[in-house]
Amino acid sequence: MKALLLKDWYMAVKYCKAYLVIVAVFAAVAMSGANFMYGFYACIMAGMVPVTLLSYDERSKWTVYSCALPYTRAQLVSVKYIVGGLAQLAVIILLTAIQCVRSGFSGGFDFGVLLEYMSLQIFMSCLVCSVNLPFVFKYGVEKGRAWYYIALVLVFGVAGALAGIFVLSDTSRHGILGAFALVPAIAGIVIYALSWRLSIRFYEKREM
Amino acid sequence: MNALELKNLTKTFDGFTLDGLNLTLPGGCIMGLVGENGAGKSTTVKLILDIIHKDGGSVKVLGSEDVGLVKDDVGVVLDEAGLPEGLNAAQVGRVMALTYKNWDADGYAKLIRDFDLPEKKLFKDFSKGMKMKLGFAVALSHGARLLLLDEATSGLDPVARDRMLDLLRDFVCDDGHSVLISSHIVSDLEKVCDYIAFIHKGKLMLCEEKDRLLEEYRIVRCAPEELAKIPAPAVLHKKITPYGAEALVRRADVPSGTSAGPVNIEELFVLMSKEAN
Repeated sequence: MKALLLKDWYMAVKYCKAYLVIVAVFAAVAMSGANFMYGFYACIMAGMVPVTLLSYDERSKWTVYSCALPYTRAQLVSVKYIVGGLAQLAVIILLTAIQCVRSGFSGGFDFGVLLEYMSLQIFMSCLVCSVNLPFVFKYGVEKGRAWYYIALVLVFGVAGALAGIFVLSDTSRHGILGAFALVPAIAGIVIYALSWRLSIRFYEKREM
Repeated sequence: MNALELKNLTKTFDGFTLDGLNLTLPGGCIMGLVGENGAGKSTTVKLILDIIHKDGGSVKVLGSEDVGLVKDDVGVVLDEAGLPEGLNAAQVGRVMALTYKNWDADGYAKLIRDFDLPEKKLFKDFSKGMKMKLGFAVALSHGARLLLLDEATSGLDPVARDRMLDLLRDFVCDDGHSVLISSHIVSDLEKVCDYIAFIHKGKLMLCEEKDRLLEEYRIVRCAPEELAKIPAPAVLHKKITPYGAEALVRRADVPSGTSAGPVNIEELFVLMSKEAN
């Protein structure tokens, strides 16, 4: 597993720099308070990193060759979920820090609202990987591309809807989930875990 | 111990069936897998490695029916080397050091130097030949006991191919090391292989010791009238043109006095394939 993580680290450094720039731009826009939705977009971008890495794997035939090396199919799937999780975690930490700074400046720091933002960001991040990866592992990036775009539209739609609710309810000052603030995060993590398991099952049956 | 034992191995795709393949590669030997495009060579290699799943039969690799348990001992070079395109040779070495229990970093570095591969150039910028060389360097640097090579010499220039064949000969000098190599370049196989297996349209036509094949078959080039004198069962394939006749025959069945020359593996393969078609 360490070998696969190292390999994906090298690949991410080489090919995912553009995501870093896009995430930084979205995060900066979110910080300016222009639209809460940009924070979600940053999360979505982080969730796209594993699929991007998989598309490079497929192009170089690593997906075939790696099955001949002493890795299990479960490890080959798991590394993408771990990379996805780490990328999402980094973005959420960044967005949370930005949110803290922003509310510090505006003088309206509210831990409940912060928790709610984090929770929704975790949900969005998890959703991107969770809906995409099982199909990509089952059909490959090329064949799964149609689903990939459908899923992205779906996820962006959810992001837009959530942002709309927050804008309408002015949650920059008051959270709307209250005691249920952590429910989206927990739901996201559960969906992520189920998706992980489903991807392993698909990949173990897949023929390269 | 046999390095490979395939029994009644079967796999069906749309329009193709690998039909009950039986193959045994004894330890310490090199076996060449020969066949036309689409004959089933790559399918066989992938089935051995469980890259695709068999429909029936059994595969035993280095004595184990679960290839996953012995992958540390199997070196693999596939027709497209398959290493990650964003990595350079040094990074590949670091990844493989964490992949294989018996990774030999010094041996890998030596092969990289021997093959004249740049350490910092990205794999995606390598030529086909360089990619295959890097694949070889990986396969030969982790103490493998069995090498599975699928069209691994294609894309290499003749000098590099010759170097690879030398490496394969050196590899099998170590006790119990074995190689299964599929290739279109039959002349390469003839140089190094102990056994030759012909696959045609998913069926094993023959699997025999190379020396015995070369001993058993002969080529007769003569006038058509002379060819007619040879008993029909002795003639495995014949080609008659306005300029003369050419036939692949079993040496034992050729009447004495008939002039029959030696056959090479490439001729044997081409003529047998034509006969099967």
